[in-house]
Amino acid sequence: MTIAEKLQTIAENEQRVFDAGKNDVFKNMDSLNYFFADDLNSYYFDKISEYDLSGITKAQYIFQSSKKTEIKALSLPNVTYLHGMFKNCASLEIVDFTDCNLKKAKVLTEMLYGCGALEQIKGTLDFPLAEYASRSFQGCSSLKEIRLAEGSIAVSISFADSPLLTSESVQSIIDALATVTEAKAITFNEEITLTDAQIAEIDGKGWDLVQ
Amino acid sequence: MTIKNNILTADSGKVLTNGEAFGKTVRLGKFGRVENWYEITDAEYEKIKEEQRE
Repeated sequence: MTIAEKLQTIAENEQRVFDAGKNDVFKNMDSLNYFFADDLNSYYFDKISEYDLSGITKAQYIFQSSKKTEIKALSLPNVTYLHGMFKNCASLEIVDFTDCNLKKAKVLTEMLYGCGALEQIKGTLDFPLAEYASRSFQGCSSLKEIRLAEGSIAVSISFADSPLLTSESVQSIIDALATVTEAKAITFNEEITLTDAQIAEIDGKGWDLVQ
Repeated sequence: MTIKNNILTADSGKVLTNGEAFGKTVRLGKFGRVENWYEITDAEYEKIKEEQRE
């Protein structure tokens, strides 16, 4: 082994120890607040999915005010409180929720609040336990593409600021509404034209339709 | 506010709200109640949105 190869091996081992130490840090954390806000902690940005985040139960403003144009959402399988995940990411155009597990989240407020450049949400949003989703899409004035798991929404939700939603996105939202047993409201922008069949579907599931 | 069948329509310059949702028209579902909805002015609505930004 040459000296250069030895140095390379030493560097790789040190990196492994360094990464292992960080993994332990995440493993012992139960909250992840402001972690990437204002693009902090950029070292972890492309690597975070490699770490064990199963201990995280509460997370606020993880990516708040990031200037990135595309972000992969974090999979936080045990998070129950998730507030302002991408709040005020004004440059964000695409957010990718593919293979993202947030199924235990009960609070999902202001998730994409103020993401005025956001056009596409990749993947399928699935929040079956959500109890609060207030202002999750407020200010998403460029949003065109969104898909939600069928029958997964049982809380009032608003797309009032999203006049550009494609017809497929609108249908996905309507299909995602669960049949409710108390008053809930689905809000679409005034410029979204719903068919009689879509209005009947919303009504049949018991929802108030707001525009 | 005008009410026709199960559809509420806000007066000009006003917005309907139940405290959480906001819009110009509300088509009540089977659990919706007229008394849960009230009008605020457009200016009041803008103020609420401004406060939420902070």
